[in-house]
Amino acid sequence: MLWDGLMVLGRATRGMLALAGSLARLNLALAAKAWELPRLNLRVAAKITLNQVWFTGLEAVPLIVASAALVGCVSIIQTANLLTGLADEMIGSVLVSIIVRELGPLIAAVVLIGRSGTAMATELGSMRLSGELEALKAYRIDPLDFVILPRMAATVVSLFVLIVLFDVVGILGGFGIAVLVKDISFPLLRSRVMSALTNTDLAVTAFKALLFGQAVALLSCHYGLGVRHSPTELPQAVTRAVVASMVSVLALDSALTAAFYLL
Amino acid sequence: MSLLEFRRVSLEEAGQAPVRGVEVSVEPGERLAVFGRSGSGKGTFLKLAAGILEPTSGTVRIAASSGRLAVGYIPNEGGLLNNLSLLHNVMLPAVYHKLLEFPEAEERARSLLDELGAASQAGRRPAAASVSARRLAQFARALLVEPAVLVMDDPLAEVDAATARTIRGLMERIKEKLGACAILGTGSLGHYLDWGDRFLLFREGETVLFEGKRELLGSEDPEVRACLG
Repeated sequence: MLWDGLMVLGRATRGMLALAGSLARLNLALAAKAWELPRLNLRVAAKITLNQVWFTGLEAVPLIVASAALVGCVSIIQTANLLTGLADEMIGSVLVSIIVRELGPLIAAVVLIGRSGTAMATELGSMRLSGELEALKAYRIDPLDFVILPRMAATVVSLFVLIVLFDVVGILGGFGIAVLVKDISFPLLRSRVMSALTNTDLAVTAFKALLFGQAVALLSCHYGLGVRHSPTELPQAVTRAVVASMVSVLALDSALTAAFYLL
Repeated sequence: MSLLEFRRVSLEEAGQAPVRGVEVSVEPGERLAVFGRSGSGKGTFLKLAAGILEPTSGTVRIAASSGRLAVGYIPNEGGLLNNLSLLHNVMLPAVYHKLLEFPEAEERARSLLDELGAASQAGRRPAAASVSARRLAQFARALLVEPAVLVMDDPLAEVDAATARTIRGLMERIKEKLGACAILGTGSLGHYLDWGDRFLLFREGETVLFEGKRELLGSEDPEVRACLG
């Protein structure tokens, strides 16, 4: 019994280490490519990056706006219910703590995983199955700088923009409810939020976009490229990419929050 | 000097039919037809020649020259990027490697597709284009970069008679105009009997080289008879 348990633990550890090694190799190769950027054909890379920004960033805007407005409203309603007689001066802190620090980056990352992470894993898996990656290799077009690097850059940029958009719309949604429920003036609310918002919040937002975007792109590409022989591997790859991305984002979020706000 | 040289090349890898100890070289303008049954290793050989796979032992040497790509590759199916139009697929290697500026590459790609009879589908993505248009786009892509070695996997398979005629013409033109060597893999040698200068039989990863059509037709080897149909 104990032996079986150890065997399971050993297999899981080996699997985790293999995944970490594989991701580290991919990351190092990408970092090396980033150094070579001046030698690459930037016009081609920029076109792919812009296409990806269009899909990852712009097409996600309606979803982000709707969810941010709802989250902003819900945050203020719930907080007002919990803290009856919620002091007006706390509303700015509540909105900044809940939306800017936590929910903005987290929900934007979840939307990104659901839309773009799944799309990237499926696309790369299909590219492998249809021989597209082989053809690229034959023509000496490195999939790292033609396929993966533009997707990673686009994911990080798009996520940053989506987080900022989420924060702005979420705070405005919160404003709307606060004005209705608490009967506070808009300029007063604005000054409360601005005084609660610090440079650290902005820096953490940018850092979270960088880390979350990189993790989602890296894991989605890794699992997509892992497809080898059959289309039946595609849904498995997508599921693994989603699960791994969600776990990574949650773990990174907890670590960053602890590092910046608790320590 | 050979454009392509295999020296004691072996590859044994999961998911690939193995090749063992392959020795062959291909001269400028020469045409090598590689044949054998499915799973005999000819597909692995073509991917080694195209630089897609690396050998586990031995060396594959491809002569490179400046201003042109070493290898053009025409797979049997797929191989075109599904998120680009046929026109952009044709232009991609030339633009990526800065062999041509974007406008010049676009003009030449359009004119090549027009010449091959696929201009009407140039704006379509591969999934929406016909099999023949996709195959012609693959040839146009290879011609645009003027490769030293052209690797083709059964280019006449599944195309209509008119496209097959165009492709036969192209295969001649590649030799005459570019001076490239060409390697072709097939399971049905009958279509390419007049095309090949030499013939390489693959049997369970090992090879037998025939120096010409006469030697091939004189062979009593059952594998040769099977592939000749």
